[in-house]
Amino acid sequence: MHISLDGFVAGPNGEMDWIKVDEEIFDHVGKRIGEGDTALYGRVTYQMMENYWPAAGNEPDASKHDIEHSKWYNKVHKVVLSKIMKDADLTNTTIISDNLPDRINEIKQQAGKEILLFGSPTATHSLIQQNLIDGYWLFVNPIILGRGIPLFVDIKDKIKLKLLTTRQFTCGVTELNYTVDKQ
Amino acid sequence: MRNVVYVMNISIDGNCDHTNFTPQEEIYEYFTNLFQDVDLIVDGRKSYQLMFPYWSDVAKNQSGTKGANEFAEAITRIDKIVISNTLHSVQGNARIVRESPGDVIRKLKQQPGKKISVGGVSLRSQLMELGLIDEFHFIIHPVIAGEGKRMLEGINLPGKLNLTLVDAKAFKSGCVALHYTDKS
Repeated sequence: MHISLDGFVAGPNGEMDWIKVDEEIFDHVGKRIGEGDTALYGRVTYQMMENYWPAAGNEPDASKHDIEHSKWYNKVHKVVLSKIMKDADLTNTTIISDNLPDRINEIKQQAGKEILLFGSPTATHSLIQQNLIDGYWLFVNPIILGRGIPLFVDIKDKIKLKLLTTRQFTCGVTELNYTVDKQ
Repeated sequence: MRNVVYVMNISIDGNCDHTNFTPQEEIYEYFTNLFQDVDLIVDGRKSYQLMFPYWSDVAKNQSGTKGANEFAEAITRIDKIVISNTLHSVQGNARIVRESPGDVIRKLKQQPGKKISVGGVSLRSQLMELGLIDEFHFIIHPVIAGEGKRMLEGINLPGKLNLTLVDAKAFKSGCVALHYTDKS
């Protein structure tokens, strides 16, 4: 998740123009994403992804990142949290519309690699509340927005984390990679 | 011009209530090093009352851990200004001023000296709104703390504040110190 220093993932109207990403970050992120076999999205983020990634690699001015991520996106199994979408026409995609803990735990129990949750602040809020998130992979941007959509909302009990790695990027972003301390 | 430095412990979710955080030797050491470049601390009333009777006692009695004692000595030694309209008396090397934070800080910046550290959530937020903070140190603790005082509560930033990352330092405890400057 790309976040501001004051913990926002987007501006008040979903603006993401302040998020710094460049080749250095794409390469680093691509390595871990490439190893995941399942991508999790809320409906709004999923629709944004569907509008861009399936064909992004085929455009004449496609960047290296466009080509690589588009290929990955078309291959990865997608899980979408939505009460209103139906999965009849979608390839390689599962919709979860209710019973979140059981459905997510079912997927977690299956053999497979990491399930990566991208963007999706509303879905993230639900998953955090149900204790279904095991780690936070944060890219802290060197900016204070003042207002916007927060990553964390309505947290009832403190959640302790374990820092795994950090990394500084030339553009001023800092990667903070945590797991949830389940003790 | 002297630089104004803002040092703050926060949780991942931007909660700055200090009771959420466990004090640690490596963090005390980081702060003590920071304060070597500071020769004036400016506080609001609440922050002064929270910090200084407590830390002066620790310095006097050497009642903390080695790191805590050194931190206590470092900050007790530094001159202090408390901005307050209601406080009547202060101790030691502190003095009270009854002007607006913006005026106080602008005057102080013009004087020769080392860095000025500003304390107190409310004071820091007001100074940020006025664009008077030059340097930020955020110590991010590995906890999502939930309810509690937030970094920018009740303050209207005029616009986004773009910062320049100077250094990111990870500690054994899982804390990360992020050091930024405001070049605008």
